[in-house]
Amino acid sequence: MKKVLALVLALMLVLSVAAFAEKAGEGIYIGVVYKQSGNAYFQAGVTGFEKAAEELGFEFEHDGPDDGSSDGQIRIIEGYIAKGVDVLCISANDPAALVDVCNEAREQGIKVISWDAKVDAEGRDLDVEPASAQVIGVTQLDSIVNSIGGEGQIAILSAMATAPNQNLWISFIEEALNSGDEKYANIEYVGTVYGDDEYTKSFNETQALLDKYPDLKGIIVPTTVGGPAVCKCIQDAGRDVKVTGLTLASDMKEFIDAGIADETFLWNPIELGYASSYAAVAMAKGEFKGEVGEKIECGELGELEVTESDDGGSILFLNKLNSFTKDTVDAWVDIL
Amino acid sequence: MQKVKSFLKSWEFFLILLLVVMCAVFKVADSVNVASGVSRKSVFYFANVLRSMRPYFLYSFMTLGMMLILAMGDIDISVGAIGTLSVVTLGVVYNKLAGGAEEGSPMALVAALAVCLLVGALCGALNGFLVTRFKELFPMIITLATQLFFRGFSYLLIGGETLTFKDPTFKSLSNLNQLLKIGELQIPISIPIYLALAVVFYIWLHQTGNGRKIFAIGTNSAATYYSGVRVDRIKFWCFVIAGFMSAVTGIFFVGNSSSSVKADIMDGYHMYAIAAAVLGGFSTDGGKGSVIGATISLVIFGVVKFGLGNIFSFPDSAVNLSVGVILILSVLGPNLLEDAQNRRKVRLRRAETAKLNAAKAA
Repeated sequence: MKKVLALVLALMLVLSVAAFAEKAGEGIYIGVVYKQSGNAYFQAGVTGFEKAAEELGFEFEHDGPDDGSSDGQIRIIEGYIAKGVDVLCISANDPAALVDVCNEAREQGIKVISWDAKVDAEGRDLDVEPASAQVIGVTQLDSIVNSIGGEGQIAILSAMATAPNQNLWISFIEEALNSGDEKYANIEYVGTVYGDDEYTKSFNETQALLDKYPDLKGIIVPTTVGGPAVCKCIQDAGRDVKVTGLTLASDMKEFIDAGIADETFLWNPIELGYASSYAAVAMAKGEFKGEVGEKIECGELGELEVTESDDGGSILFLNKLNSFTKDTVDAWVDIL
Repeated sequence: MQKVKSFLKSWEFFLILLLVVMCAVFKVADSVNVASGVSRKSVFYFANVLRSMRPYFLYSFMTLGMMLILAMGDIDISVGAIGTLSVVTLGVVYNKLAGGAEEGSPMALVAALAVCLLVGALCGALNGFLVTRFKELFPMIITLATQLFFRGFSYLLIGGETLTFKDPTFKSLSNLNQLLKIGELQIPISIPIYLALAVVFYIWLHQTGNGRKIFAIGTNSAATYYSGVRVDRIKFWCFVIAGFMSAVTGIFFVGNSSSSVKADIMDGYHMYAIAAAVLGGFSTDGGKGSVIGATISLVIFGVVKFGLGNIFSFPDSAVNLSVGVILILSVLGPNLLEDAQNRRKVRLRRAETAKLNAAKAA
């Protein structure tokens, strides 16, 4: 009896899926604006929109200014307004400059989502970003702990001492280390040095770290300029120190292949575009407002929750970083 | 009758013709798009195009200044950088006077705007001084140098930062970017302001002796000088006015960027200003061009970019490329025509002389 019931239920499920073959985003028109045309990062972002468009059935157009300027983006947004899009998905060259034009669009009933780089809170309905500062910080920490086998000295090489993003991530790394968590029990954090996002300075600071701590096991580099400099320094010194951090795949390929870094991270522009699409379609249909506390189903990324952003607006974090390892780095070299 | 004939031969008539043809092409393409289901609704109708003219009239004030320079046979490629430096000082001065004040201060804004316009005029004065004092240097080279100087100075003042102001007083600059609603129409506010200024420039350039002197300088600077015109003085003031107009343009750009200021705010826009003036009939040879032509050119550029971008779905970069193509063709076209006409004249004259010679020999 149970088996029959299960079979019937399964059949109903299949049928119901078939009955809803009409796609959710049918008839919705999205205008995607990115920072600059011809940039591989944003081309990858567009493939995210394409992927979601196949699943949801919406139409979209994409463009970016060739000079990476705000006024170019404003020009493109005005064009989309004239065309009558339902949703704008914008990666803003400047968070402040686009506020007015975005609000004009909103007055006409167009929803405004920023993705990858925000539009200020007063000019958008939702911001879609890769990960919260906490996830970015702790992911890197866990990776390095893994790489060095759970014990030993670690250090951080950051960008400028005043860099707000880096400082926030570092504060979450320090918080995790001090949380008393068992997995960090044998980790000794010796401190942070600053490479000022300059290759030479980063290299020299790394050299100083290596000289000062002969037992150093790992370095976290939460800045793309620092990554290759730190790895090169370790390679030249011939030391067995592992590296992780936020880096470009193209910068790090040789060092990942050489085994100096087991795994490094950056966000995934494809997933950003994909999640933005889902949010855009739900917004256009009025099912989703992008308010703090709301949840939204984003296809294969699962259910995501809108939280409050530090600028007072709402933000949707994917809370997932893209990792580059020996197996995956090649696929990303041309994109990031 | 004579007047009609000369109008039909004029450059302005050609521009109007070009505009009409383009509108017709876009209208047809738009209808085809709608009929074939490529686009969901018609895009190319008057109200929509008028509203979308906004980004293309931002730099119209700079074009007015550029006309003076081109009419004299000079060029000023620093106007974009002048505008940037002017508004950067606007931001910095306002910050100093009223930074952080919740409500802002209207007095501070007026003062900052005055400084901004003054900086524009002073930058123009520097150009004018250098151009009139060092005649052995090309204005192109001089203004290239000052462009780099002004741009560098802007970065020196605020670096890569964006100056943003949250107070309602400074935010009122966004009004310059507003759309005037008249019935169904939404008119970018810059258009009526531009038209008013254009009338002033038209009367000055085309109807007053003073304005005609500017064209005379462009036609033959030496002859004009020997006929008693103070060439250098006029030149100097034209550069000052061009600088001033750049500062005015800059203020509109601040409105366009949601009342924020950045050190690259007008990068590259001098090229659009020059392009509009050149298509309008001005040339670096000097001595020709008209305010009406330049105004039609501004509209043409707006319509082309609107049509290619929104009807033919060209990406933004390709739209810029097409502007380049139009420019070259429109400048080259008349030149080639003139060339052909001249050659024809020469041919005819040769044939005549040959005939005469033959008659003589007989």
